[in-house]
Amino acid sequence: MNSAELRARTIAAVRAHPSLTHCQFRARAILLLAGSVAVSLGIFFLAGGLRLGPRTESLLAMTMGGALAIALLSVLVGIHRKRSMLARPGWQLALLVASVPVALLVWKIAWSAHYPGMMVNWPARPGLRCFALTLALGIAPLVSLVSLYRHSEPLRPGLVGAAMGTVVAAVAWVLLELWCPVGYPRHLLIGHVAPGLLLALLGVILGRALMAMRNRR
Amino acid sequence: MGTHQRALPTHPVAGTREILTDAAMARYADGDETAFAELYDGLAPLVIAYLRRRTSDRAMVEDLVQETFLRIHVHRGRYRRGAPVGPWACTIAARLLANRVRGTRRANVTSFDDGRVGERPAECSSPEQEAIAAELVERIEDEVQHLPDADREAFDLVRREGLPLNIAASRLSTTTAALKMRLFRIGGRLRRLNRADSDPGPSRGKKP
Repeated sequence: MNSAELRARTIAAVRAHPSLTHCQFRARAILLLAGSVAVSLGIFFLAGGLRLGPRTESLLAMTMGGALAIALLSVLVGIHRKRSMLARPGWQLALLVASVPVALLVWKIAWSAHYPGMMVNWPARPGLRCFALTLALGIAPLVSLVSLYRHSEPLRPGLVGAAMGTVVAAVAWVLLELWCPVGYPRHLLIGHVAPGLLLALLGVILGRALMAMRNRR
Repeated sequence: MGTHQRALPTHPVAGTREILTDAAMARYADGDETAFAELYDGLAPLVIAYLRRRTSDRAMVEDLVQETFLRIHVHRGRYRRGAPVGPWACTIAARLLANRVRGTRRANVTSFDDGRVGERPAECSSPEQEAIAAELVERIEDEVQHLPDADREAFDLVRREGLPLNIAASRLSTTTAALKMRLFRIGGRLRRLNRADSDPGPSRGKKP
């Protein structure tokens, strides 16, 4: 086949396949992400919304403010791609997955330790409800994000999925910060960090299954 | 990503071409269907050269070029204005090529390990590969025919007829462990044949 024939064949193949334009894709993305955020917010308010508990307002402001800053930074690194069609380098994504849960935990413990009685054990609150709530808050946005990048990641789809899971977990942590007053480390590990790691793992699985670029059969 | 960007030519003319290609991609992403031909003309030489450096199979290159452009078309809505389209296209092409090669290898290994000697050993993508595969099947069949009787019988019972090892061992009046050893030896002999076929050593081709 000469190059003219290949060109004609390619153009014919492309014409036979419908695809979304930039505007259509953006509209679909906004709809999908807004829908998933609405689902998460609905779950959050159904669970009780903001609960100050024994915390002072200043403690809540500091822990939530820091978590929000970390979550925004993770969105910038994990989702935003600057002027490129490819995901960020693997080391950046791996660093994000490894460092965000640690940063959130350290920030929370560091500020809770400054306030008397905020690090005490709550035997009745091992963290299972927080675990379930984090997962419930994170699932819909994670699935939406993965579906937006369906079969379009030519490089490291598993790692990209893990980064998406981590980003979603960081945003869920911010909402959880408003809901949960407990600062006991074991509770934080079980209820706040573990579901985040689980969301990252789910991101790996979904990324490999749904975002990986496959050949036509 | 960075490596692809660095790998792109920095010649002023080439740079202008890249800018035009990126602009064509932006117009195509916005819904201008006529921009695809321009995009193809600007990008195809790069993708073809990239693939030809990695495989000598012309049919596969042509197939992958078409598939790469199809992916760019399907995902055009995701295009970010100003993003260089060349590295993206080359990464897609590299991924598709890797998938294709991996798929072909897997098909080869599966049919070889299953011992389905008479079946087509791989998903062939070109007449040349098909001919090589057919030749390999013939050589394996020939090798099996030249095995000692006991080995050939063991191979037939387990690999062709699919009998469980313990039943085949009792039919051959031997132990399962001895049968396993025998099959391992036959497998090694056939694998060497396969390796010799895929490895164009310096002495090959000198033979008449």
